[in-house]
Amino acid sequence: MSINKETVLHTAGLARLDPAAGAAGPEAEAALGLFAGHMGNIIKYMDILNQVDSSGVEPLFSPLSLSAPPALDLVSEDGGGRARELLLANAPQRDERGFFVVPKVL
Amino acid sequence: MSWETVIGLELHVQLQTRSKLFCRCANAFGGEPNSRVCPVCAGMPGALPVINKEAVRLAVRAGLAMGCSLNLLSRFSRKSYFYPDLPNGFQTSQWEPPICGPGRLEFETGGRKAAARINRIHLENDAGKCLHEGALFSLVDLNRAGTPLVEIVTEPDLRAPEEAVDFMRHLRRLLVYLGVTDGNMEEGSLRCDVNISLRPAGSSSYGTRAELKNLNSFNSVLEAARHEQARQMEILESGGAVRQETRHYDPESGLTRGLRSKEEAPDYRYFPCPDLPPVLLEAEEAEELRAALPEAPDKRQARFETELGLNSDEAAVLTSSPALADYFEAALRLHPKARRLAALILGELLPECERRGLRRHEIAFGPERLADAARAIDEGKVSLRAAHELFPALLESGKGLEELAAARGLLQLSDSGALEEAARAAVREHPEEAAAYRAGKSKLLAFFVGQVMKSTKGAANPGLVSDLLKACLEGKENVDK
Repeated sequence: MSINKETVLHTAGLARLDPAAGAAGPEAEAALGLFAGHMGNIIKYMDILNQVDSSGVEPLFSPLSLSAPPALDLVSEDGGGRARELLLANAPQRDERGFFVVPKVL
Repeated sequence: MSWETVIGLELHVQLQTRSKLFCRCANAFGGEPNSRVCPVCAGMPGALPVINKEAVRLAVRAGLAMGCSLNLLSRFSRKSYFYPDLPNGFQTSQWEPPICGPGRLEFETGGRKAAARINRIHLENDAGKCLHEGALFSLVDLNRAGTPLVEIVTEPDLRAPEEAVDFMRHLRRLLVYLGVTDGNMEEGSLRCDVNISLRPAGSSSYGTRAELKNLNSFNSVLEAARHEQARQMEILESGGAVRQETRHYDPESGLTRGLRSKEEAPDYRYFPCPDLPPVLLEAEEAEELRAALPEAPDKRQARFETELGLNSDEAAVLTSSPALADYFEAALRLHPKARRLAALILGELLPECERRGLRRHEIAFGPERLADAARAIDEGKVSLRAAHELFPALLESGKGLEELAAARGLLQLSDSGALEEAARAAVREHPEEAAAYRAGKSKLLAFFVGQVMKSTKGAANPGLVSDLLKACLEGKENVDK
């Protein structure tokens, strides 16, 4: 399966990425071509799996063991308040009320 | 041409757990921004989620109540999309298989029985909240991020906006009754997406649908669906085609407007969540949950109406929670007078709880004491008026109604000897009225009852007084004796 430039743009758009990094014209075309090649190679590599006969093999959803004990419905001692300052300190911007401040979204 | 409306719902229901779905931060509403957040629900790299057992149980309880099949093994996937209130960059949600498969829920609408098939119920985490203040920035509060939700998806079985709302009301009542959710719609505990399309009446295929997102009141569901129905009809009548898209309802204007067409809708790229092992439900546990499922509130209400002769308002209040309905039935076993008990619960006990800001079970007033108070009234020992007066003291004192009434001189006089004397005196003292009564002014009986109530300071049993007076006035008794 080969990847065209439209697929690159669509996939990048879903992740809010600009594969042309702000460039336009032939430069942008070149960037899209480059990524189309990279992504095509990844897909091609994964296609090797199709050469293996996997009939009768259950799909592996996770390398973890099949089960893990669930948690009891208890609230941690601090109820989740202790990390507040640490988490807010990670944010590029916060306000005095303790909100994270991000560029306008609608 | 006449059109048929086709509606399917996706309902997001916040589960009533103590902690969040994948971490042990408190599951609560409001509070200081970002005060219930930890590395897991803030989406920090490397933080590992652990599923909350109670959320699984509540989802199963909801599914069982709707007759859903259960998947003893279900999985979580990552549903990718980008928005600042979703710190991970994906929602952890069940794709295949979900915890509950197909089911069916019956409800009442417009005075008839209807039913909607349930497609599936799955578990997922809620997002945080964005506030849009000012022109340049948005504010993010992650307190809600990670709150456990079930999403209940119906088949397109609803045929009118009113029917959709009736279904939703029925569902809300059921889930609140079962303790699955607090159902507080103002706080967003129940939110609804409405899928709506029109098709020519009699057609068996579906028209193109629009999805109305995130409606959080019955009224907005009704208004949005009605508006969308009219909008689509206008398009179809004029020969146009409805676009498949997500539309936003604006409660201010009562209109819906297009948000994005589904062609451009995000590709969610679901894939199995590597951090979470499958959710395993023991068959035994599923059976336990099934056995613990109480009688549905609408069935119990109907039983209270038909078997116990309560009116629908009384029966609806008494079946607002399993605890209250159990309480009522426990008292009923001790004193089988349903209407009397209902009147005491609705007229005295619940208003008194409300005044104190307490719930019924927080007041030490067991069913045996309620039955005892009802009996004192039914045996004529305490009047309704005295019972009303004494009720606050009854809740506080730990004493019985009769004992309290005796201590305060409010015991109703049902001793016919003493009352007979009072009745005779009343007739003797008002000879003109007595003569008028005998001449046919039977309304004067109330006057005489009033006189006796006055002379006994309200302690007399009015029914008994009335009987005694009649006997007196109608000459079966010698007044002057």
